Amino acid sequence: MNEPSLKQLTREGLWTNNPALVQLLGLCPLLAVSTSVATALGLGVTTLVVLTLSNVCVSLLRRFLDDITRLPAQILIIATFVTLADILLQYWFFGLHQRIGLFVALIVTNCTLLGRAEAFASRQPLAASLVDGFMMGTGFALVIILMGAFREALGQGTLFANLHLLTGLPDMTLRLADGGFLLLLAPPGAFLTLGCMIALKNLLEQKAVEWRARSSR
Amino acid sequence: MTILRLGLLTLLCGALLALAYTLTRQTIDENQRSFAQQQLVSMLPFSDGVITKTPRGYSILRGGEPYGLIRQHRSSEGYGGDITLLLAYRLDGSIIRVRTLAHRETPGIGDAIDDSKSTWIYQFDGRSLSNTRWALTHQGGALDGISGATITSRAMINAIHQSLQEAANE
Repeated sequence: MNEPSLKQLTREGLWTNNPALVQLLGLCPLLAVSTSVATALGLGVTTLVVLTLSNVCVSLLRRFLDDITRLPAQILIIATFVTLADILLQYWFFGLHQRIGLFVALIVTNCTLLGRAEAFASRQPLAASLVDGFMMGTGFALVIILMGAFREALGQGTLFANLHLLTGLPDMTLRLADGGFLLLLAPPGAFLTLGCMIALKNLLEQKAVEWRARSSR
Repeated sequence: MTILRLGLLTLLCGALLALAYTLTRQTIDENQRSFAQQQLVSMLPFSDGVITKTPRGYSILRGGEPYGLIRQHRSSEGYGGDITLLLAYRLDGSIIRVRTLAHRETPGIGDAIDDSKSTWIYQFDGRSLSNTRWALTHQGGALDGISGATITSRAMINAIHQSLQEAANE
């Protein structure tokens, strides 16, 4: 198998093979935590870090493990990093942990992590695995943050509420309206938002294909 | 060989977690304490109160004199699950403040019990068993409900009423 290039990995992670919009992996945290920018950013970045580190470790150990031990070892590595993330969040961002703590443990169930470990990192060298983990994580984080912004703005009428708990910066909540469209904050709203985002992505892709066909004629 | 390798990896992961736990435990405990302390201090309308732990909750001292007490109360009557409240009373049994610590009520409707969302919970300030009829206004009581969230409102009123009674019986 030849090693994919940086450009190729970036494209795949962010767009053509985006974990949230194309692979539809990691839906549990994606749908549950995308109710505001602050929580989405917290979980998105945590996932990004854990995914990158687990990819690196799985890649480093790929010659050390055989077919029987590979899967349990990958789960073990992922669980270790998630637990570590949980401990460090309590250490550095206790206020944020109070809000998303319940969902940090859920990163273990984010199939993106095991998916990338098994499908990519266990067969690829260190550098490529690191980039793949980082790009896939970024792809996931961008989608969950976008969903968080959309649901918070339309569902609650605010943007960046509670973000100061995460960043240590002063409170920068934008009040767009008093209240909002409640459905978007409820669980069905998460599915509707994700559905719209997938549709939008497909539409953009279709337009790009049509545009390319027209300009090459 | 296979078992040995997996065992080695498990040992390594375990050691890493044990190390992280040991190094961070003290700060995390402090974070937890200061978070809880902040919550307690926010229950007092004045800044010169001293809060000490008692077997059943916390007692408030002001100027060296006992002033009141703080108790936690959990209700299972919420619409979306348990509601956890923190209540501060004066010694005469009247409420200083009530705050919702944790709840899972419907966003935008029942979450008005959270004081960052609505001023609804301020109506309990100063109320006691003797000066208030503890029911919703449409049932002949003295307390306003949250429109669209009768179950949540009733759960809150019952919980606060019950906590008052427990405090009075001590």
